[in-house]
Amino acid sequence: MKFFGIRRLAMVATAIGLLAAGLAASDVLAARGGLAVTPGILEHVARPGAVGGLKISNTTGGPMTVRLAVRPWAQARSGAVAPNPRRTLGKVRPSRRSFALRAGASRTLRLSLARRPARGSAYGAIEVTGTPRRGGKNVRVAYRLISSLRLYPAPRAQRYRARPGRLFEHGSTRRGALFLAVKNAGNTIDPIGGRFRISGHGHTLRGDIAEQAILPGATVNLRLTRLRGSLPRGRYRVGVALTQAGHRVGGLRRGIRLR
Amino acid sequence: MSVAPRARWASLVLLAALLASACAVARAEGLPPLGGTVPSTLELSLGEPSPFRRTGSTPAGNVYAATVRAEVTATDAPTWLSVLGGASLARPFRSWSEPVTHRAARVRLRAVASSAGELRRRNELFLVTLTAGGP
Repeated sequence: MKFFGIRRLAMVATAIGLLAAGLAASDVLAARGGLAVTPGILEHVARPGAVGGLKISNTTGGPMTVRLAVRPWAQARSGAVAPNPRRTLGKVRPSRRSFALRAGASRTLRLSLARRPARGSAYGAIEVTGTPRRGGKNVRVAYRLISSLRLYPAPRAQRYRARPGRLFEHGSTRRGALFLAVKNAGNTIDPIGGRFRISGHGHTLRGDIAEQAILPGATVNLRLTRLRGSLPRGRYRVGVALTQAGHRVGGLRRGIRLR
Repeated sequence: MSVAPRARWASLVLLAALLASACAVARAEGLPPLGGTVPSTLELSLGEPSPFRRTGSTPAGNVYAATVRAEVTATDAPTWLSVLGGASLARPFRSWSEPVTHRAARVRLRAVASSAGELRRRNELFLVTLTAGGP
């Protein structure tokens, strides 16, 4: 009986130990801190002059070298976006591009727009890289925070336009999808969506196109519908109406052979 | 048997519960009060990376992997984590479609080298990237 009591005692002690260790571990990470940027999305009208500030805080226990770059986004046909590492948005200038930030310190940088963008708007990524001065023994990790810069066109200068491009089938009618390449020919990033209608061989398929934010000037393949055997192989008529922010921005009527 | 061991058992359970609640209260005291507006923020915290371990090989050399704990706070969704550097793919490996506060994630760092010694000499830099909001 005494032995049984000791075992219980050991189990309880282990549970308490694990609980305390878990709490301590989470506190260690919180105490280590990191790099913070405020705001996460910087929005302003695209007008030459100051467009806002960015507060960068080093909440770690050591000094950091901070670098800042404003880059244009690169958007893939899938819609995925990433900052273009080879280019910078030259017309947006930060007050400092590189500086040292000691432990627990913050610094606010001002961003200014040198001239009005050609499209009337500019969308970019603010890339803040913080490299700790004291590196690890054989693994060095640095912080890279990417926040968004949205310089919107003035209310009267907004242009909503979409240009439909290639209509194509990916896969087959049994297991595939129908895509339409759409170019944002306007100057806003309001998502582009719409409706479609596919008809032929006694079948009609209608539906909504999921909205997708497309950068001005970029082209993204919008998926009209999945094909799961609902339409037999053959030739069909496809009608598409594209909308953006409640505006009808483009459309098409085209034939396609589904395989 | 009976009363003494049971009393000891009950007191231990009570002690554990008190300890846990005291820890929770202590942690909660460090947090800001509930309610109000939160400024748009993006924050990334990183723990100490684990040492590299060999996990396989490719024609280019041995593959080494290490992990680092990350904690993410982001008020603007969607948010995604990715790693740049070494043999780590730049594509996002973790994403959140809603705002997150102190959300934990494990970041895997990959490097290809002929030996552990070469890896140490290279002292490779990995950029743990947190992207918020998209365009």
